[in-house]
Amino acid sequence: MSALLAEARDRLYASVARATTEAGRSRESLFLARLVLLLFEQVGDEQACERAIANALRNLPEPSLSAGSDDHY
Amino acid sequence: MIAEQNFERIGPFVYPHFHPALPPLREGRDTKHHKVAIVGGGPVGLAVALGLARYGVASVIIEADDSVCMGSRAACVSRRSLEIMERLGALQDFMTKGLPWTDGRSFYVETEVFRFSMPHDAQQKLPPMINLQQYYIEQFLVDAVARVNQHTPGLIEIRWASQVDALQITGASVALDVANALGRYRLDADWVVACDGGQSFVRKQMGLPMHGTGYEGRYVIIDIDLASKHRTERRAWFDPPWNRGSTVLMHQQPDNLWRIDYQLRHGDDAEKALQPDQAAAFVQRHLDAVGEGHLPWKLVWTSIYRAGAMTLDSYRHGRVLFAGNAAHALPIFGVRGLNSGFDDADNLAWKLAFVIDGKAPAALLDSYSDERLVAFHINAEHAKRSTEFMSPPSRGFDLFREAALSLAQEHRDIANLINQRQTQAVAYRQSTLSSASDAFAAGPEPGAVLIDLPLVGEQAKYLIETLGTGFTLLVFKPSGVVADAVEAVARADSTLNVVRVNDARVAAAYDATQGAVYLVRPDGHVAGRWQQPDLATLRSALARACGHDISISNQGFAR
Repeated sequence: MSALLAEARDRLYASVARATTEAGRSRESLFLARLVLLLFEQVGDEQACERAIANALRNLPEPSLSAGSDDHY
Repeated sequence: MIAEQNFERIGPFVYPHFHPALPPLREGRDTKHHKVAIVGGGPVGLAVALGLARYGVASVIIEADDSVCMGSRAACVSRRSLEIMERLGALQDFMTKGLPWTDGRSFYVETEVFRFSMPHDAQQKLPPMINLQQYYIEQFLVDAVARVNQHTPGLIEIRWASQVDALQITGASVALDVANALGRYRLDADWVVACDGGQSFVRKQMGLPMHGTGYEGRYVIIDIDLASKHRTERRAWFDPPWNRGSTVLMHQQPDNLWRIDYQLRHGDDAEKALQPDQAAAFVQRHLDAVGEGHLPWKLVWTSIYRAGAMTLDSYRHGRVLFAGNAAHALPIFGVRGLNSGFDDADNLAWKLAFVIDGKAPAALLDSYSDERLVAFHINAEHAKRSTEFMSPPSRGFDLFREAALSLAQEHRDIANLINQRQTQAVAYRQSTLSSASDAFAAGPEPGAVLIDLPLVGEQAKYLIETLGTGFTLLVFKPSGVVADAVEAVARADSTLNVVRVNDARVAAAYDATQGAVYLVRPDGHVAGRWQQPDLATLRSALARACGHDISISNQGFAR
């Protein structure tokens, strides 16, 4: 169960999406990796982090739509 | 993998050259039957011979080269290894020549992002690490061998420039065929210790496979002669502007010798990187960047290094024992290679001597293999983390290394990921030689090594100096039953070394109240500790520590 309120989740979703765009295609992986390391420290729970890693990897869409060109933005 | 380079001298170090010789022979056989033959006269082989000599056990070392090693090779000696060198009578040379150090700094691009300091208490006798070229390490051990032989002629025989080229194992002994420039002969020994390195002939001859992980990353190692005044610390530069996408390490060794290691990037040609002009261009670029480009320098030795964590499944095969790189390979990062080899030698020497002297069953040697395999896995786990950071094995590791490095300056917790995790003494927590013990709030638990502390008002200046060649009982103000028990076991075994500790600081560090006893093995590992042991407890613990009682607790030890 999440401690996040629905509105907060919405705001964080938009915030990380905007930040990823701001990082730009060439640095988005690095940005997201830094975010992951910072969140690990915040969560402070190894098993919870491992579960999140496993969940993120499970059913990873193939091919990823986001791997396409970003001409249409 | 060491490039072919031959030297007559490096700085003030002049290579000695030893001549091959033939022993007295009868029908092509060495007339002497040897108790122990050691294949390989590198640092581990020499340490095994010196360790056996402490017990009066003679050995013959067969060494393929006619001198000590070319190039600096393993150049960091840990505190634990220095303790072992003290037992072998070589510490003074190591300390006089070696450069002690405790800390290091890591830079990302051009910013310092991490600083480490190895645990060091001003009270401790030995520094956590010294830097010393392997040719000095070997030379000092060869000198120690000479001192042993001065005292007891022939106790350690080194047969230089002689190669073992066949080996036959019969039930009761092992026959080695030895060849040198003067001829060939066969040599018989009760026990063979293979210390013949990463390419071990003995291992290959016996068809024993190594298992483990090889890593892709490669490092170029360059030693230069440079009159730098920079302090002795380990510096690491990640992704520096003068070598983008790579890592560079720099370390001082004695005689103004500086070691520069740098990571080859994917697709970099190793052969090319080792070309003198290429290596020189890299060094000048690096020195310019760290503000020492104006100093004169010259190239001394280069090598290529690739990481791997590999081991034999067992270090004992009947009468043949394996130690050092012949038994296992460990990645360079964290300096566990030679240091774990010295630990092998220290673990093996007393056990082999006890077995040869008839004081312990041959099964004691199985505990050598079991304990050192556990140590390998602990070392490999630490070394793997260091290696994955220093030499990322895949895109994910590359990406997260960049993420960690770029956050490290502002986030100290994340900066810990950069720590190279230098070697520390390993504890044999599940050792079959340890006995059930009482709970203590502090001090080394069974399997761990002694914590060295100064002894105030005692004959020995440091606790570690009190260890003898037999077992040691550290007793803290015993009375009544405990005092009687200690006296009784000491009467029964003249090699037992009873150390009465009155020092309050030591007692506190060992959580030792009146009557507490620690049983310590000749290699400094604790085999048991009790608050108020009786005679039966001490007797059975001593028997177990000699391998007499191994069957009972064998379960649960396998990793």
